[in-house]
Amino acid sequence: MQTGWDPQFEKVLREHLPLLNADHTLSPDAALSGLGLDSLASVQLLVSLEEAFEVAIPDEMLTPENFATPSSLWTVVESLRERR
Amino acid sequence: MTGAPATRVREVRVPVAGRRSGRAPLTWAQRVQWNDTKWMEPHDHYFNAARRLAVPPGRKLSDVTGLLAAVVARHESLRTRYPTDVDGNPYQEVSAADELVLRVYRTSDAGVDEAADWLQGRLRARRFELSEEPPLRAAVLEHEGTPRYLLIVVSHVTMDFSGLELLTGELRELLSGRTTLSGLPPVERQMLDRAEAEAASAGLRRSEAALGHWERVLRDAPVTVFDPPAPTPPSLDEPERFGQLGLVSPALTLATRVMAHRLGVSGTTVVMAAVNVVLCRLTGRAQVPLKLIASNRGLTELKNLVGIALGSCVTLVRTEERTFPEVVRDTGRAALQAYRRSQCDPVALDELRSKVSAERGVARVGLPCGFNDLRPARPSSGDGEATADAVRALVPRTEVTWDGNRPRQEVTLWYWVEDVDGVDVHHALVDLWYLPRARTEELLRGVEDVIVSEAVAAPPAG
Repeated sequence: MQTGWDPQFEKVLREHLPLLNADHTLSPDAALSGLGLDSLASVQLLVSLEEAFEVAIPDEMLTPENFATPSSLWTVVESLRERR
Repeated sequence: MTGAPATRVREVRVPVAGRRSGRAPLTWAQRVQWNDTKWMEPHDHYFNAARRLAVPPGRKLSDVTGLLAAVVARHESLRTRYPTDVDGNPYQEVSAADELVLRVYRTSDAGVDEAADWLQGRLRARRFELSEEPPLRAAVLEHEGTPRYLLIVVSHVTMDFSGLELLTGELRELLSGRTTLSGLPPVERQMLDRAEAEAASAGLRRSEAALGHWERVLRDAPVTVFDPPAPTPPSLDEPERFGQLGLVSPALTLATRVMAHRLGVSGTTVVMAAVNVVLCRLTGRAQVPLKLIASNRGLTELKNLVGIALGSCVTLVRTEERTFPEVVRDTGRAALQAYRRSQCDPVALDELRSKVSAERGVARVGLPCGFNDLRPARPSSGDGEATADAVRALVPRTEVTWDGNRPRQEVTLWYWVEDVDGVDVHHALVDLWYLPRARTEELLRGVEDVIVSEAVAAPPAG
């Protein structure tokens, strides 16, 4: 599957999805909440992404929509990388 | 049968040699729980957590004692005391040389499980003298001449739920022989290291950011949430002042999954949003602050900490003239913001709360409501797409239960949810002076009604 994201992004993301089996493909439009990502886990994922990609995700980007799917979250990370 | 199901036959004392001693201020998490524990005295055994581990056949008492002593040597949190200095400020003191005290009990006429239940309750029911007593209490229950259970009780100041899970996991692996002491991974971080990290510049910046979030909430929140029903409340220790009701609802369980699926959020966010809606309705306030507990265990530096890492944070969501999906969205956003700011110095927070309260002309801006969801993440079984008829058919099965009185609480309402055999059970632990049983039942049924009504309504097109 063509995802377009950095492999490191998927590695970090998978660590925070308790309901995603290691051998299952991560679809860009999968509902992250259905894979076990609740609000608390989202914030802990955010910290991991900030460390992995050396970006700071501002509060205004901390919305349920941005954490809805791998695709929406990667869009946020990518936009912040481009701003650096 | 008369008498106790088990009797104490002896006490084993084993010296424990850890790697280092040390003294440091309490970590933020320790201080949060130390404050709560002091407030609860003399009923603070309420916070004690107990676990029972089966001793595999073939293991002798000396094996159990040796393994437990080695685990206490590994984890400084189990060799810590919490004294106070001359100004009354608590600190943590770790001793390299400590002692494990293991009480040995033998079953009487009772069965081994009945005796273990009794012993666990007995060990848990006594408070810890934190300044001088080890924060771990341990006993072995023997039955027909062999050790059958290892029972441990820990003080919540030293260990949170996740820390205790790590500890019992390690003990189970050792007792079963699946791993050995030399096979355990090295302990990377201890509570003394945590105190040092919090005092460093990155830690202080994190606390400052969290205090900024708290200040916004303290300034925007209503100064009081519940109107007192009479001028003078009864004593906090009046036996019938606090109590808990439960709502067991298969309909709410299914409806929560339907709404989570429909709105693309977690079930926790759906329930928290409904609690926000009903609390505003019940109190007549436009928004009600809701305290949350953050485990903080997703953070790399706290993940494997055999100690306490939890933090307290708060949301404030306006529900007036908002549709339920809008409240869900706002609640999700507020929870994200709150959890991001869940680590701060509780002493500085207390000072901030006093300052803002004085500026707003009250003794204390009220934060009387809390929320916690203990349900584990569960894979979707397609029930998120259940029909309205399927949800409606479950409504008659709802039951409200009275769970009994509780000791004094710091909050007026602690709303918590757990999973019992696949059904969500919602609990409201309340101050019955403000929220008598009928009003608390109204609250629980209100949460059910909000979520079920939304779930059975047709979702908006598009």
